[in-house]
Amino acid sequence: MNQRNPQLELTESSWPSRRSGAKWDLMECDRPTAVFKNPFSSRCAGSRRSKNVFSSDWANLVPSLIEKLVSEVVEKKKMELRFSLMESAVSELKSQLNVLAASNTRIVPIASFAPEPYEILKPILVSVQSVEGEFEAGWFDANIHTTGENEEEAVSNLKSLILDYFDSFSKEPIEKLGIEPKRQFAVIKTFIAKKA
Amino acid sequence: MKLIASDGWAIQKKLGAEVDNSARRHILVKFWHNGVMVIQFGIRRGSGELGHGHIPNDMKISQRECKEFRKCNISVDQYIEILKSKNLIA
Repeated sequence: MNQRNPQLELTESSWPSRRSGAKWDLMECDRPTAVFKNPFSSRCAGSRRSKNVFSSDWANLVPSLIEKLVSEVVEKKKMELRFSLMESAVSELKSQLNVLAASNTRIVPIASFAPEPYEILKPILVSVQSVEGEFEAGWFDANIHTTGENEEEAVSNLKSLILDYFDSFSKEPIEKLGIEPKRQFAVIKTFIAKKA
Repeated sequence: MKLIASDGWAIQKKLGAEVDNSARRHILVKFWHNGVMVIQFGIRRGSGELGHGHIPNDMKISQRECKEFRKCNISVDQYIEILKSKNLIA
């Protein structure tokens, strides 16, 4: 039972000790500190009641205390603003995630046109997404798009349309193709070739 | 209002575009201007009321412009001017 708490001893030693006979006075309570002290705290209240004397410079402390209070309130308001901005950002992200989940966009590689007599020079990456209960498949590089009732049908329709475009462009003399068809044909030819 | 096959046919008629029936699952609509093919798009065979929301992409205009074109608020000449402004017609 003789063991003493060193932390408690440290705290006690920093206070004026009643045991040592020293009295707490208002000067001690009113001394400016880093942390705001409640003037009605129990430690100070006793001596205040007994003497009812204020330190001579208490009025000088009021502006700095008010300034501190104002800066704390401003900080709190800033934090509240930050939180509300973060809340709205999170809710925006949530709605974007919901849209992405609903559209269910996927990238699908096309690796073959079998049994059609065309060979793929390199895999074609197409996107498939749900749009109003249907599926839209598109090859953005060549600007070719179509739809289907399900993902498989949409991709299958797109494969068929890519070959239709290839055949359509192939049978026209190049000077008969406008700027966009010429570009589309050039893109398609880097991915597809007709088997001999 | 989503674009469906019948909108595709209305656009084809308004453009006076060629209809190519030789394609597989689609019918190709080809718009020629001054003897040059400017754009083409596919209308799925037997697609009825199914969506053709890709037509604006194929026509190189926005969804809004495509709907305006369909409703006759944009004429063929205005459409050609739009394509010229995008350097898609020389």
